[in-house]
Amino acid sequence: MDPNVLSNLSVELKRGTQVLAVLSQLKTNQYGYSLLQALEEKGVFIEPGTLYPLMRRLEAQGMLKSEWDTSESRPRKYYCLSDEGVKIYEMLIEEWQRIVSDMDRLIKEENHGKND
Amino acid sequence: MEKMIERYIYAVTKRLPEAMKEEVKEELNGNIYDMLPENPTDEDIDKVLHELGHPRELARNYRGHDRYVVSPLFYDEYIQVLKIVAIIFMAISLVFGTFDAIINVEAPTFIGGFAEVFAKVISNALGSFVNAFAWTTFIFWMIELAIRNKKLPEWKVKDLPELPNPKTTKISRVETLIGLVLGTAFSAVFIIFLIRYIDLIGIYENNVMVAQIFNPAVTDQFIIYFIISAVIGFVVSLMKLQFGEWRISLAILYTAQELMSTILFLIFIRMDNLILNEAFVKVGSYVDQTSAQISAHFDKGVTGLTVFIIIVVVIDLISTWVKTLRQKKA
Repeated sequence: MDPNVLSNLSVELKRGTQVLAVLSQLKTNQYGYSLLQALEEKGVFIEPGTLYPLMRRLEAQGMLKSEWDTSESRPRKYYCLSDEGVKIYEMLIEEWQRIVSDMDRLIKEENHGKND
Repeated sequence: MEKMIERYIYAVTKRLPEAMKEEVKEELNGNIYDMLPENPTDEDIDKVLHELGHPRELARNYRGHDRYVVSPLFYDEYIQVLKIVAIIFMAISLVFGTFDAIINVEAPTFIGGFAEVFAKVISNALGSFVNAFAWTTFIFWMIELAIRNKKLPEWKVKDLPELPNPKTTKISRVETLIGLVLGTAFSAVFIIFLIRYIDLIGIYENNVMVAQIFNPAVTDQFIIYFIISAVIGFVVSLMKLQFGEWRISLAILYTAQELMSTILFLIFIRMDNLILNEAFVKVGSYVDQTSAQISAHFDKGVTGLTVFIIIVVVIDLISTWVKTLRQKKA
């Protein structure tokens, strides 16, 4: 089998979870690189070239709010969940749990059938 | 090497809309320095920039959507239309280019003249291919601009294309294209003659015209109708290409167009004063007959031609309707 097929499918599968992963870490203020590290510490790797634009996009959609911190030598843009973002995040979690349990059921049925 | 960072950021932001350039620049700059250790080496910078990926791709991620000249949704239609338009443009340019080049040869020798005509025809054909490409692409670009960021309009089941019926009579694409090109070329030459050269058609003796044949007072009235008829004929040919098979709606259109252009042509050749009397007199003088006799011969000829044209058109229409209706019973 072409190894690319598996890696492509895996990338696609993960892509949909990226928003949820990002939102989950933004209850507190984070700037781009600190969010990247926070995710990495928990074993979730999102390419920086994907993550930084994604944060901007979520801000444009009103789920994140941001502020520039200019107190240090280099200005940094900090992001965190907006009120709207909190609501959407909670709904997305519900959606996610439904997906997980649906998929679990499908996969377990499949395995069960095999073992018989 | 610090310059590399600025150049990388520039490579990204120059591809972004004006409104977001400044902010992305500052934010990206911060992100890059956050990812770098204190006093970074050239390798460190190189590694971090590669982690961020190709500037083009990063710019696309920031923009958030892809942009096209031709929408992928319409790509198939684009290629199809491009093929047809290119063939029509090039064929018409071949016909006219050759015609024009041969009339206006400047080179004194045969070989020179041949080379000249050949070169002109080829460059004309290439030029019209570029034209076809440019116009088709331009029109699809306008479509893309019009539908950009919009959902496609609601579609109805009844608007879906008909399944190709194996029992229908296919319209040969090549035949239609040849007909289209020849028809257009003929109409164009005919109309151009009516507009520009009607005064030059006549009987010549020693390079001096002694009798003009057609009466411009009559032919001038017809120019506009021939132009309309040519345009309608062109459109119906395009529809034949588009449908690809005989259907009732197409057969009705084709019949209407055929009848209209035939009637127009018959009225034209049967106009009382179409041929100037001076031409009849002149021809009569060659064969020792009066102009009235020549005119009578001519009228017979016109009647014969009328009958012939009517028969040909009727046969063509009957065969079209047989092709169209046969499939319906099947």
